[in-house]
Amino acid sequence: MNKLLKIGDINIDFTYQFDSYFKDVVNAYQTDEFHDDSYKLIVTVEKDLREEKKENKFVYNDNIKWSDSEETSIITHFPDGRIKSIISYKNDYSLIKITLNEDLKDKLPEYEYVLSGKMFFEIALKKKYLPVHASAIKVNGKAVLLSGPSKSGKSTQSKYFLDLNRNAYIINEDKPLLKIDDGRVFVLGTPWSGKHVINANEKVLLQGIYFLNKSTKTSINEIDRKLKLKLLMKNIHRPSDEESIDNMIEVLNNLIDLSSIYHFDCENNISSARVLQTFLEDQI
Amino acid sequence: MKIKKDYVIKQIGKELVIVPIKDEAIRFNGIITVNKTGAFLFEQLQKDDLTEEQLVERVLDNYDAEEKIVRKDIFDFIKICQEHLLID
Repeated sequence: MNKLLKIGDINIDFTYQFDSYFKDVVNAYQTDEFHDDSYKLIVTVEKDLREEKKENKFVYNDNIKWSDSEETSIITHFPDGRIKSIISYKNDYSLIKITLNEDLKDKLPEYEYVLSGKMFFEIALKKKYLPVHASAIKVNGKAVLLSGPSKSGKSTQSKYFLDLNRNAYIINEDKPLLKIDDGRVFVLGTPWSGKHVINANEKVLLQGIYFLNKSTKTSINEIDRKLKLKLLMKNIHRPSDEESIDNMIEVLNNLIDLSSIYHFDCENNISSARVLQTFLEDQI
Repeated sequence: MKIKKDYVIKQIGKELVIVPIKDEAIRFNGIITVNKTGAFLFEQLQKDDLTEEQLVERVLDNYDAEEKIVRKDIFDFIKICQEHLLID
């Protein structure tokens, strides 16, 4: 399948193989307009994957990264040494090719979804969008971000909150984008939104970011700049090239200045969502 | 000793942070917050290959500080850099 997607002002010429995670979901982001500055993101499945060596080699875990001034390739392996996947990209991300080994079989759709998402987030950072680990909920016209690492309760607390708020819905359940526009912070949905693939193609003003902390007592507290930075750094998609790092820092600086950011100690029941609901009502 | 080439110092708000880039960003997924002295030490070790003694001299040449405190600051800075494998 090939689709032209528009996410915020990012144009993606996306070629993918499986509908499992993208069916219906990408349609909301589809556009008919072709743009010369589109990023080409192509996923293919092959039988025999071959490593293409380049000038510099970097080995980490079971992965090998080859790079030169123009291109980079990241190669991952099966335990027996065969190549599992290759991500090759121009260093400006204008062309990204993801090749998956057909031996991944029923895991192919998941690999396609995860790896294409990983590369999309790199593109997003190039365009000054900051991907944040969070569940973004639209309520009363604004976006509330429940943020934290895996297993911190993002999905659970979101569910409780949605149970209480019939008009609220999720913009992105796993990694929404934050964008600074005219001195204001906006939240955007993308097709890459975690295992449940819940998202909406919307750009919504940010109400606040709530960093979750499992606790036996519920409380919502404002935090100082130093802790804001620490928690944000722990819960964003981190780039590796310096230009994207500078973009990330620019967004972070604005975010810390412009946003309401809180520590949300919450219990594993609906009472914490009630406290959040009351807190939000008091903010209006 | 010298700081590896794939580390840069950046300012986020009022904080000075050492950030890994390129391959080092894959190996080390953190940042290190430093004060002005830490930033100075980082910049010296980024530019030149220096011994601990040479670092002490550079700080004393540039700052009006007590040698005992300078030595302690440098010892702590090098220890953190070594723990995170920032030094070649």
